Amino acid sequence: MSLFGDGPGPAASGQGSSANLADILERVLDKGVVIAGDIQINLLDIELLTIKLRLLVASVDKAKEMGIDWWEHDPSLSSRARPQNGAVDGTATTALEAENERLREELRLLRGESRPAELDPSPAAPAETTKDDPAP
Amino acid sequence: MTAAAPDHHDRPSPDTGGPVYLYAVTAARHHEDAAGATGDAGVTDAVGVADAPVRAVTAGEVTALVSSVDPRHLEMVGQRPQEAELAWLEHVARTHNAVVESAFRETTVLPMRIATVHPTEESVREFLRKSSDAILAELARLDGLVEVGVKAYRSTPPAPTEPATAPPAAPTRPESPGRAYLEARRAQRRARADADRDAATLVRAVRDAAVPHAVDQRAHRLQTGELADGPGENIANDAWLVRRDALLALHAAVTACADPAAGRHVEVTGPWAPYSFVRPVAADAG
Repeated sequence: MSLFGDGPGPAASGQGSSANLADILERVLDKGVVIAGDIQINLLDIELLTIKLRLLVASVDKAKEMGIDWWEHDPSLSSRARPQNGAVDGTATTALEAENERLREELRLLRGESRPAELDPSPAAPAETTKDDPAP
Repeated sequence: MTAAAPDHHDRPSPDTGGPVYLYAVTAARHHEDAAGATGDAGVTDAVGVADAPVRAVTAGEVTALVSSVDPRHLEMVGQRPQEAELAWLEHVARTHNAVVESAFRETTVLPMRIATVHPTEESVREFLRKSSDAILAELARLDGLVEVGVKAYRSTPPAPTEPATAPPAAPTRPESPGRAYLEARRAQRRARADADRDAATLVRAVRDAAVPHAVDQRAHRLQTGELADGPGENIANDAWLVRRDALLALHAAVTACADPAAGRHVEVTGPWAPYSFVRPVAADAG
């Protein structure tokens, strides 16, 4: 799996088709340059296309399982969330978290789901005992 | 097959006037003076999303790698069965990365986030013009640096002396109330604490080993779910920003922390373009 084994130089990288999809997804979905600020072009068009594609991503179960959370860092969706000079370390503000929660809720609605439990994995093992009888 | 003679800078542009998909930006090298050097071969050979040829769009000192997108492809998004969507997503993700990588082999690049689509090629040029300073500054900052992925895993060793990852003893079992239950819980907690301590030790060791060879670090979310096919439970998933000439040293240092027989695994991926370390590109104010 390692790409360092036989070819020392980075020229021998060529991980293209062999790289683990999870590794690729977490980079191309969650990371990479996002265009921020007013760039005086038709942002609406871009956002429509881009958001559409990214909503698809969010709707894909496998991406969801991976915990892909691009929307937390995407200024086109939560422009207030990102510090202006682009400090990338995730010092999450409560505003950001609130925004995330709202977006997640929207995503759930878009996906036609109504169960809020899913994106919030809780350690739910033995607590189940108290819930045996189905209370209405 | 139809070798569209790779002339000089002004090769026939397959610009369809429609939306373009943006993969990465680089410094505009080899462009005015590309007399004999086909230095941009990596650029021109790359194949983009939906097999569209990748082309370079240059404005001033910066170049974007783009390919035309058929608007019909975009309209289909979200309309297909889930498997088709997933296959399509995988195609786009892998293609995106492959294009980024083809450029990254030659030079420093700023990879764009997936699905960055501009309405026209002209709007890409405008973006380049307006953001040129920011792009060049970011390229300079990342010059000579690559990203390496380092993942640590723990697995239950073949002969488990402790049921570290055993499911909680079924608490509803009628014959084990009270004491037995607490006993089991305690044992379970102890085992889990031991396992967690082992895991934390491995994570720390791997990070300590990497630090001297790296410039920066980002902790990615741990990989779980169907796509996480590593040798056990993922306990660290880091990206390291590394000088190219420190790659092998970092690789050797982190893999030395592994001990598969004891359930401690380390996996290294890359080198990647510095996805995890690029900052957002804002237009120049004014």
